[in-house]
Amino acid sequence: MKKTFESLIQDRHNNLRNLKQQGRKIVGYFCSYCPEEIVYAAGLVPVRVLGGEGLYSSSSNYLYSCYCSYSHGCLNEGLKGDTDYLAGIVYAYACEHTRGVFDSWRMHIPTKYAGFLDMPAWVNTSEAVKFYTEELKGFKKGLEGALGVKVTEESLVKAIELCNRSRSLLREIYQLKKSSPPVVSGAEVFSMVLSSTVYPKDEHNKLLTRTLAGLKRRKNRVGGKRLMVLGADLHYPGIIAAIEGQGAVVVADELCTGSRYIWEDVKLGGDPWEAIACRYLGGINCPVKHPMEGRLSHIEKMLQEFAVEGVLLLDNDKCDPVEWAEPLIKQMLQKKNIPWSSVEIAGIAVKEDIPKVAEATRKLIGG
Amino acid sequence: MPLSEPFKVFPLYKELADSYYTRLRSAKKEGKLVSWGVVLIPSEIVRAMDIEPVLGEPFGAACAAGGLAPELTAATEKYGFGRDFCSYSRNFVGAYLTNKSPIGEMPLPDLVIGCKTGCNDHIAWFETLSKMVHKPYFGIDMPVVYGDIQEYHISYVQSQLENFVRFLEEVSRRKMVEEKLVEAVTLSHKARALWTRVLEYNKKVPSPLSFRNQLSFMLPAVSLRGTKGAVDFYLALIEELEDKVKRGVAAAPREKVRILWDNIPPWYYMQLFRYLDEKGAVIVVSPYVALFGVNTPISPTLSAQGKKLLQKKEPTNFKEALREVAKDYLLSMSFENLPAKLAWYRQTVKDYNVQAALFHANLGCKNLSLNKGDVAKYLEEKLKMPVLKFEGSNADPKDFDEKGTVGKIEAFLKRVGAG
Repeated sequence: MKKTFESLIQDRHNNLRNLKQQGRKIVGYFCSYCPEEIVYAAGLVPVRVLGGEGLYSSSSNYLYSCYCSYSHGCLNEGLKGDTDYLAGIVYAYACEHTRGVFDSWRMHIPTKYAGFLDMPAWVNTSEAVKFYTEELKGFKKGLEGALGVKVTEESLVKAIELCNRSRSLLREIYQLKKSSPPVVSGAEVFSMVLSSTVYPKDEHNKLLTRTLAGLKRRKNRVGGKRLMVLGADLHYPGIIAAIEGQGAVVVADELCTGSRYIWEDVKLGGDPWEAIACRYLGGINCPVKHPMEGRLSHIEKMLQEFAVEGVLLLDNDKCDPVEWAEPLIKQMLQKKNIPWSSVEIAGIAVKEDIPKVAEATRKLIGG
Repeated sequence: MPLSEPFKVFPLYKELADSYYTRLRSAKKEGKLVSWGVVLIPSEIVRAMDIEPVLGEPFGAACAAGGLAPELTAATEKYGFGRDFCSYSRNFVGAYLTNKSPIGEMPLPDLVIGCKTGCNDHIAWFETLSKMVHKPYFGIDMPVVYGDIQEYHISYVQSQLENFVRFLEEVSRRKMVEEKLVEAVTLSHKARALWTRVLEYNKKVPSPLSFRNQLSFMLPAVSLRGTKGAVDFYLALIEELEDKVKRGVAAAPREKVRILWDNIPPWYYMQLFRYLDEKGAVIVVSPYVALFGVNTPISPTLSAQGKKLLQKKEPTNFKEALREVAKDYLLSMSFENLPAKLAWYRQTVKDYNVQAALFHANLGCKNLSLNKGDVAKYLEEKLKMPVLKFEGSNADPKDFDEKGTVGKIEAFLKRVGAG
């Protein structure tokens, strides 16, 4: 099972080229705030750009060295031609690093469509919902015009149901980690979540359904210290495996490619555009979105519900939003007597991060 | 070529700057409220409520220029913050933690304000500080504008500003006076428009305004928005510039090559600009100082309708004043996307007769460094302009390699004929 989901991540470029040959149009995005529902509703397949293996090279012609490895990795992947199957890219404003990728990408990499969504940074106001609903409608028009597609009310509702189903299945699997010890490892669940971002969800949901059935029958359990990881973008399953290889199990996370991606659904029943705006604005906020309280209360809830015994802070290098929040989070953990350790990572697949993460885990669990 | 002359308005500038810092120091003793916020909060609205605004970036710049950066940034890192985010903010936070600043003790706030004008740090910085100082916080979200301006953009900002005024009224326990708001907004726009006019004098050959002058004289447009003093100063400065241009008085003794400087200067190493002037490498224009003026909407993503929506109108009441502030901000934000940046550089190089460019790859500011590699390449490849890129920081000398940078600049100046 692990191999299947991991191979979807590792072989994503080949898989997506095949998908393109089958006639499906694929659109790439750099951040979990891409409204995938609208892209699916247009008959397109949204996929996350994960950034290539190793450190950046060509991207440094355009992005200075103060931008994070993730942003360089994404741009580099595009410049190398690894993502030549993309019909377009979509970016919903999150931070300057990924905004820079969007601008450099559309300037230097041939692409038929580059859609920008001006997503508010201050997300808990009615004004933000009203504004973002307009942005989403504008995004839809731009997508339709550039790629010759159509979004109808019916296709939008179907797409919302598809994405909600994916999140629901992933949450059901995720919740299995509450048991002690759990039947599924953090690395397995992480691969399931991450692979759902690089594979069409209709097919991925079938894999998840089979997997869930198998997990309910599984007898073997995964022992170890119950850890939670906090951070931003993580595209490298090897990191979670490295943590668990030290005698731990990652029972919870608060990552853009983890619980934040799957925790909230689009609520159907009213205006679907406003419902999508509310889901993305009101969901579990990444460090780039404010106020901070949403994120902090999600972390506190996870610590309790998943009986977390220690926290590993995976600090994406040069990530301003992560750095700003860190002292507050550490103070919160200290107040709750939860031990923590932190380690800087690239977020993309950089093999040099593995021993660093392993060492930080050993320091945390006292190994 | 005539020798350069000091500016007669310099004492007036110094008086304005000194009185601003004096007011910050004495605000609490006089029973006035103090706000903390990023430089591009609508400080004219804050001033209209008779609240003294401490503005993060100029404060951070003053810390760095005053030699405090090593101590202050170390304090910030010791507290638990990283060292990769905005170096202005790392100085500011350090000033709070150590209670050391270029104006003596750090004036503590009664309220804290964030505004997302170009970067996410602008909200995180002061939201985090508001929790550290336990004071009420208001965050203003500003659209980034990659497309056209539509009415809903303006309404979004305007409605937030209305909430912002209510917040100020609640904290200060007094009502906003409509006439004061209208006056402050009008004066702010006027001062910034005058600042743009000031900078345009450098289109002349020889240019009359050195980069060091630009960096000093930008203070009213940056930190004194909404005041009559800012307007009066720029009117006096324009009068003197007119005179200098008539007499051919130059900013530097020799103008051998006209330079565009990109990004914030290294405030702890201002001697670099005296060196450049002495070599005849005169910085005639910089997007950093131009940012605080009122630029024409040249973004290719703006339609005629979008530009019409941004057109200035003299406000006469509360709602109109806030709408004009919203428009001013959206105009600034329309320069955030790369096509708009390239259009600005293309036009500016032409208007200012720029012959070479120095790109400060500033590790301390993610917003102003964004896509500047793309811009530098554009200038080199499309406009055939010599460009030198070098790493540094606006306010953290740890990121500045003095010997290496000066060596690179020396070699570049020889290449462009100013060695």
